[in-house]
Amino acid sequence: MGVKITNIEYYLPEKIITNDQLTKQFPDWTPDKIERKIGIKERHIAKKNETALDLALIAGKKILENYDKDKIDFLLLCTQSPEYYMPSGACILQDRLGLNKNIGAFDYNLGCSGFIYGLANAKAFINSKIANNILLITSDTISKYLNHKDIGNMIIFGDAAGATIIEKSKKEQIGEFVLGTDGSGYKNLIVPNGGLRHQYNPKAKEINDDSGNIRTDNIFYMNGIEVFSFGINIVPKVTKEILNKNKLILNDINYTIFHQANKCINKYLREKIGIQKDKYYLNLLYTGNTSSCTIPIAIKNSLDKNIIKKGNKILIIGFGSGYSWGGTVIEI
Amino acid sequence: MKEKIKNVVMDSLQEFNEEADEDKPLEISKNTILLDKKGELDSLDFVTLVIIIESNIFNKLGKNITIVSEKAFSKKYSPFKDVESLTEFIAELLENEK
Repeated sequence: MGVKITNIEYYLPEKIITNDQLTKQFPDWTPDKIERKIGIKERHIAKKNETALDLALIAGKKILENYDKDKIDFLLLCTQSPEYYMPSGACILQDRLGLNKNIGAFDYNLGCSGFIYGLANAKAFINSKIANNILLITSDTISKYLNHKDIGNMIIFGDAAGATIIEKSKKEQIGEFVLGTDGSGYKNLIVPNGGLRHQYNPKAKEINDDSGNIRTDNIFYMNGIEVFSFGINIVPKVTKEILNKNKLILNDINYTIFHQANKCINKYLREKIGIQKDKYYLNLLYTGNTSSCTIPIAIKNSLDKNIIKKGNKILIIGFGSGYSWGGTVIEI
Repeated sequence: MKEKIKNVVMDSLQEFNEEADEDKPLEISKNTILLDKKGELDSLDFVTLVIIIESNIFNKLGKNITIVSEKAFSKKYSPFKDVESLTEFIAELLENEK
């Protein structure tokens, strides 16, 4: 017996922020310069009253159009932009999606590694007979945490929701996982205020960083260099560990999908690890970095474009806030 | 060896200027400030420059190094401050590789 991904769908909010729009606000950043530096042309942004749960609901409805919702017996929701401290968004989503009441549902708080952890949880639940058919939704509206004067992050992040169904299967199609955590890096990707340690401060001071980005402690902060260092040092190691654990070599992998951080980091990782260009997904052009949604979006797009074929071995790795990382090899 | 490394770093600055096509190109000098409050590079520029330098170190000196690491950040004085300090740090990395 094994576990497999049956289907993936995603939803991007209707509102789009283009590079041209950003240039009007930050004349030093021309559309070409933004695209050249980070490989992004557009990012989808949730409207003022549109939450991550709203996006999750649309992605969930989309995937359930072609799946018997009565079969779903567990719902996992990964988000770092919850509507409420309590209750768990997954509980609200169970009701709004019209899922049965005799199912388990909970949220978990992870960023760019979130999809991997969702798959690991789903696999464990199925193998331990807690559930048979799991709906995993990743959804985030990082844009809500951004200051409109913070060009460094405004150009990178977009909002999205991804929905994935994971089921029991005859053949094992989700391989062994490598998971990791290093909380010493927690300050490098953080929204400092708003939780119970440091509550939202309407009088928070504006801070102008060395790169000219203006932010306050109420909003998202990323230490770009430290996060780059974390990513480029951890991903090559994790790649080796995943291959070893799954008794594979890099040549056995048909396609590689890493969390889409930005063009710079992802290009660097491909070259450092020695992955062929045609076996590597790099496409943030029309979505930007959508946190826990980049991997399901990439898998779905690769399937739709017939880049990934049935039986292909796909190496997937997520890495980000926490620090947290994880990866595995899947077959679709 | 340090002279060779410095040349690679300077060539990389030139390549960066050509690739980045910025309004304010970096000065090609051993005193050029890189990642410092007075520097011209933002974090994305810095990452781009690191990629170019590592690639040139591999192509010209045959060594595969990772410049940005915990070790680099744990140093009392940042090795990324200017061309001189970066050259010293790369020399140290290559020496430790032996």
